Amino acid sequence: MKTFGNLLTFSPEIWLLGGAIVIFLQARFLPRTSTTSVALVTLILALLALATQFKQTTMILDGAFLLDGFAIFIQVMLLGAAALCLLAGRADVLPGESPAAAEPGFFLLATLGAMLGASATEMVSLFLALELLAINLYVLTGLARRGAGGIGAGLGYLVLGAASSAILLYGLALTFGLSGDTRLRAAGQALAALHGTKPALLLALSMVLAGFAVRFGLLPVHWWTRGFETGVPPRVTMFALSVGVVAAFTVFARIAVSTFAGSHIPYAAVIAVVAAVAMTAGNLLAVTQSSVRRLLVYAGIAQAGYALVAFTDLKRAGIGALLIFLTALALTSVCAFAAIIAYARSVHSDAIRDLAAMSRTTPGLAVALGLAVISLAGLPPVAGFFGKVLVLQAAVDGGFAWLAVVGALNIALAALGYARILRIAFVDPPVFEVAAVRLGLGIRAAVALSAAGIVFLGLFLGPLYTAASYGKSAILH
Amino acid sequence: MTFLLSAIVWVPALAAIVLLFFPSRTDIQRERIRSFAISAAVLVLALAVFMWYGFRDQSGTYAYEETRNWLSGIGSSYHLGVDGISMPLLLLSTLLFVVAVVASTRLREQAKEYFILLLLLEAGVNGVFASLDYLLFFLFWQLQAVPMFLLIARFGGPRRLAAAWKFLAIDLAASAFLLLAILILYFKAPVRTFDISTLHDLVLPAATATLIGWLFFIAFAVRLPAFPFHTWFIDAQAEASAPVALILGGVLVKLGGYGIIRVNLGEFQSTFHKFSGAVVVIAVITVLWGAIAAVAQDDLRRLIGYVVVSHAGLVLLAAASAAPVAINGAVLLMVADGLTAALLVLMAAVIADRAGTTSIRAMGGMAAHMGRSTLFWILAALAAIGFPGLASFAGQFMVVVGAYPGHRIATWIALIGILVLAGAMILTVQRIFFGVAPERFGRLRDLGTLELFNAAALATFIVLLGLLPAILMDSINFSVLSLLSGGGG
Repeated sequence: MKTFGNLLTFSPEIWLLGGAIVIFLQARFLPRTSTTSVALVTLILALLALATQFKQTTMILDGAFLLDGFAIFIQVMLLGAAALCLLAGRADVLPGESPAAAEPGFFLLATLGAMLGASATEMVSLFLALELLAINLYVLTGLARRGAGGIGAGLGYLVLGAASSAILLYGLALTFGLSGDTRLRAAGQALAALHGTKPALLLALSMVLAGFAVRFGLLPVHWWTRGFETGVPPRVTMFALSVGVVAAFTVFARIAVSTFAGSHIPYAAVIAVVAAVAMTAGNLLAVTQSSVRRLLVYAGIAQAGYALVAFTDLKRAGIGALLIFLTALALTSVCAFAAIIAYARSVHSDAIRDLAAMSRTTPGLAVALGLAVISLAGLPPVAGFFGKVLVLQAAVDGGFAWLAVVGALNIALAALGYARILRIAFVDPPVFEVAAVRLGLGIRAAVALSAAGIVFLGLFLGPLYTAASYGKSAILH
Repeated sequence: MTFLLSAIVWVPALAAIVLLFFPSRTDIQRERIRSFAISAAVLVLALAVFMWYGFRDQSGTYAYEETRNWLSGIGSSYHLGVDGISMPLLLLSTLLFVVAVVASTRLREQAKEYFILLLLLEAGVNGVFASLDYLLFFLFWQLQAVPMFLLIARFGGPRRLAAAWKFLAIDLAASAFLLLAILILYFKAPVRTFDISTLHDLVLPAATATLIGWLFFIAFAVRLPAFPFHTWFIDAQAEASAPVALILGGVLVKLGGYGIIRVNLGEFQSTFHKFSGAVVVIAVITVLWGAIAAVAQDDLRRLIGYVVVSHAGLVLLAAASAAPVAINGAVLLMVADGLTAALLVLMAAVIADRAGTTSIRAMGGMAAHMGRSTLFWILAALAAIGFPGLASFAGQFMVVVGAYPGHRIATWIALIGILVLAGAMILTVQRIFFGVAPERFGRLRDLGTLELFNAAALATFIVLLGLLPAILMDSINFSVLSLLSGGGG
């Protein structure tokens, strides 16, 4: 086992594991604010550990994991998003609530799963990584549940997640059966040599895609679990929509590039159809919502659709566009949810119409939410615009011009739909008196950092683009 | 001086960001916000005037060019520059934003958001005029939608919400056309670049070029606003608060004309020439429609909207003729129309405020108490109908003279439109200011100091541009000639 020594490459992950253990040991004695601080310090240490491995490519455990430029790009993003979620999550406490002190530990473990997923290059390891992420999300929904609806919501999430894992596993098993290898790249080479197994391979791809649907946010649990948005606190949803979604797309990108891209099935066409439906349906569903969190989650369907568009052109512009899109998406989700968490300190309501007092009582939050909504829709000059333009560019490059047209029209549709939030937050007179609550440093930092990040990426994409090209060349190499 | 254009574009945006941190609880603090916004707008105007003084090369190339790496990966750069076509419009924009900011009073606790939005809008408008990169152009174009939506929706008249939604819906749809045109162009070009001057000599297959040309044209015609896309403009013009309506009619719609001249005419000239027949028809209908609707219009604010629409038709006619004289006239007319529309909007706000209604039939005899208002309104109305010696005379004259050889019948019809519009304006003057005053009027207050200052400033420029069109004409002409001489497929 000559590669066994490379286990030290896992030092960021080891830090996360260590931090989680420390938190679980201390949870009986320390309040949640302290354990959150421990978790934040752990994330910073993990980031520093990762920084020592920039610009390296290391194979770990005989090729079960591969730390390359792609993985490093994603891992930096994951650690940053997780840190912002923890910062914002500290303020997500209703009067009379006392969240479990161990909660940040589960956030760390979920991040650990996402980190492993980013570097996994083999079917078993990637499935285990995804399950580590998923199981901790189940725990978090149960642990942080709110009110009577919380239990049902957590259970619904567990069932849906388990079913999707099973479907994913079937898909992977089928792929393994066809190729005879669990290593993604080797499996891809085997599939490229195969002829005449198109139906089976298409089935495998469909199952993998279906298995990822929940994780992408294509099939949100909110769909059939009523009360999810109120039963589960926004800090958990925020984490799932940023870290969880990014990790899922990363893993799927590995599978798509290494395994399916070389095979003889029209995989890009399948994905293009799913993407077009998701973009349009997500936006149509989102604009009819009356709850802010539901709207954001349904907007997430459309975002997942846009991310899938990048997969139509994997060999050229796709991966770079995907990386930038995911960065923008993670920042945007964090920004939107952080603003909502902060606003909920003054107005405990989930209804869009209750945002009416926002620009008068908490103008900073209103601006942040406005920026996030504009970014979600894909208008300049914020991050979401470039995310979407690059993804659409990839679609045209891949020969799916009609998909780019659908995407461009969806930008207009989304902008028009989400403008309702802007109107209510900035235009409508407040229906009730709101006493502004002084916000903690953590949540203010989270809102400010994510909003500044969105604007910065909307104006200066250069550095991120360079990094994304580096990540792209790593995975295509 | 390469940073001058950047400053003109970004100073308003920076000022808007700085304003975020101003407290706005007391009246003194709000007054401070307004002063800050005024000084930012004045600074931008000063920079623009300074730019105009330095603009002397007149070789038809872009002046104050600034190129920086921005998104080199996808072939987009931060490329700014002005020529004789964008420079006068940039001057107009910076001037009218100063007037708009100065004219914005009575905002009370919403002052902060209002000025932030207005300054963001200015950044977007100036950015479009200065951009020489399609992606940057689109970015600034799209930057205007949300601030304008909020400005109309929040600070307008009773039906402002409907007008704001209409604006947003139509503007976003048009933007989608613009984005599609830019993306198709980008992908069909042999070099992956968004740079307008690099793509200048591009030769595309006829079908593709026609598609791109139409997409661009529709996107710009919606903004212009040309018939049948003008209804959003009339509603927004009627419902927005006076300073916002001033920006809308004076500056924002001029971007449509600018886009048609810069992109359709400058970059896709031969394609544009192919469907110029359709454009002429649209142009003539727009001129006539605006003029006839102005005659029938009872609402003072809508009337101004139709005056702008009618002039937009003339700009379109000039573009379709592609004659140098006509294009010169169109650019000049856009500047003049911006100034006139601004003065009309300001005076209409004063008149409607004093009369307590915007219905022209409910007014009358106002000249007795409001001598100065009467004077300024008549001046603006005369300017709008192209009275010699006032701003739009030279522009309208050149458009007609330039377009006549190519499109004789259309020009005759357009001339009829101009005459009808003149009739409408004279009739309106008679109805508002003369005749019998309604009983309820009592004593009406004439222009206040601030209103007088704004009106006098605009009137000065209207007269100045009418007497000395040459102050802008020389630089416009050189750029128009070079614009028309180049241009690929």
